[in-house]
Amino acid sequence: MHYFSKYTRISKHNLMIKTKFNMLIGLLILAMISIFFSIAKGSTSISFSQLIEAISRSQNSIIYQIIVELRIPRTLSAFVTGGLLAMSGVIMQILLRNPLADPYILGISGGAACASLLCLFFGLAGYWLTGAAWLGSLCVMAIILALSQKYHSWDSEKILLTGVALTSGFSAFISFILMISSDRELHSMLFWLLGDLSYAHKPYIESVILFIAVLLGLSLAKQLNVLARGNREAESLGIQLSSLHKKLYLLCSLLTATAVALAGCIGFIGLIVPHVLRLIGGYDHRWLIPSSVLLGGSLLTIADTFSRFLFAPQQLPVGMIMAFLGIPVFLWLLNSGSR
Amino acid sequence: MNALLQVENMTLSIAEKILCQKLNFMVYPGETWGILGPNGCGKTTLLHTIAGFRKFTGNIKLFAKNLDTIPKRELAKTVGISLQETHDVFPQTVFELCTLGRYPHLNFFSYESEIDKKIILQALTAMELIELRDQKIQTLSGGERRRLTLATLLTQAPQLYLLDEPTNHLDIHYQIKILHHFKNLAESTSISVMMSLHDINLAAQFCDHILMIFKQGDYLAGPTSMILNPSNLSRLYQHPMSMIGKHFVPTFEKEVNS
Repeated sequence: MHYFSKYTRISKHNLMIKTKFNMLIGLLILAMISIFFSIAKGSTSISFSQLIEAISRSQNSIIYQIIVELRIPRTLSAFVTGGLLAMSGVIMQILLRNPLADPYILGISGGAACASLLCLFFGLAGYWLTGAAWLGSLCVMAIILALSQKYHSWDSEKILLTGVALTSGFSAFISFILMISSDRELHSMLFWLLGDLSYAHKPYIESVILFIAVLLGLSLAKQLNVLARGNREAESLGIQLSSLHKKLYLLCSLLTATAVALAGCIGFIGLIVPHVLRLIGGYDHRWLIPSSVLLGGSLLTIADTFSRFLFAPQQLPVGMIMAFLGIPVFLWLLNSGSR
Repeated sequence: MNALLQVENMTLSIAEKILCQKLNFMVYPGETWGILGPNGCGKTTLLHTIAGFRKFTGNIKLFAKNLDTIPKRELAKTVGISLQETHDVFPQTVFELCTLGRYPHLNFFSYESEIDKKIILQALTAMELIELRDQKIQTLSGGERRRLTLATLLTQAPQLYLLDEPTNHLDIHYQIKILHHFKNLAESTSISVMMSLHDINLAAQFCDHILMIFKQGDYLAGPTSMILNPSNLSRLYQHPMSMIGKHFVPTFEKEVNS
């Protein structure tokens, strides 16, 4: 009897792993649906048969042009940005051991915003903007890394406060730029600050970065599980703390920098996706990392689709739509599960 | 027989302040050590040092290997510690948290196997947490969390268990049950246990060796029967102690001149 009850318990755990696997498949399907939806919907609607026809046959048709030149790069940008931010959020929350942490909490986006807004102020756009965002985030990354080296060990609280202080400094500077800018620049600056995919170029490098980051994240997943318990606890289980902290910091700040350079400051995704996934599927990072990329990517793709066709031809900043759609769902999830 | 743990000329210090100098003792497999001393004498610091958290002067050897030359992951298979305080930020289940104890035993690519799961379930059963395995840790009481910390340590299955005040938050029943469990484990599988305790009578009952760390910076180490007596205890706690039957009892007057 005793043995039997043990046996059923073990199979229950196997069931859990299977459920997680099924959820991953579910998220994959969600991702595919959202991508199809995003390609098909917009100022011009395209039906499924038109889509197939356009891709397979008429290379010169206008629908082919819309799909290949506009919709696919844009959809890919949305998906990659969402994935980057969600995964960055998962890691940042563990690294700072703070459930309120999001990819922007250390001021990486603030640095990028200052540099990008300066670019817009001087009338530069396109690759200048991307380059400036990268430069801004890398500078902040370097500052925080240098400061963290000065502390005796990785002190989450001190680093968090450093980040918060930097962020407020940046937001003061952002306000200053907004004050002295003309109306025409102001519009594009606001779009940048709210997060906007309309100037996103073809995100091939970013896709590769995301793919490599997922592999790196998966290789660190078990260590992330242990680190979530606390620094001392992790160390006593055989984690080399200082090197893990550095790896995670570099990984999640590069993810954030890539996302911000691609699409500006899209809020909410990096904070909420990790929590939603923890609520529905537990906290094992071997599952959480791929799931966060799929869910983050899908959500942002859907939000971007809405932002394009809700008030077409007028486009809305995707970050705004994201918050409108996501916050009610999240609050509902948070309160429905008193588990 | 080789010593499991050998401490030679170690100086315990915290924030430049020296707590205890020239600490020397050896722990053999199968022994259960109790660490006694007043607040702030360095019990936790000693356990943290042996766990590899702190820099130290002197020598600490585990199976004749120097502590600071052992890679972290290997060390985690040899020494495990249950901390006095834990701060859980994320909502995990009891089972998930306990699973983490297997981390040092897993390879880079491997997932927890059936054997690992069996070890986890055994640890949860031993700490009487098996019924709570799917509950979130945030819903546990202080005593249940303490038992979960100990269950995770059992899952880690080291050779040397360091327990920092394992009886904190536990009711009498669990204090005795858990100390019995660790003592039996030490005797039957020749692992060793070192634990800091505040209850002298539990130490007298369950520990075969005692380490006393005095506030003045000296120490006593040896078999319980030789170390544990009212005069040493009175000196240790700066409070008069006496024996009634087999039990140590403090004087209950408010002001005493020792």
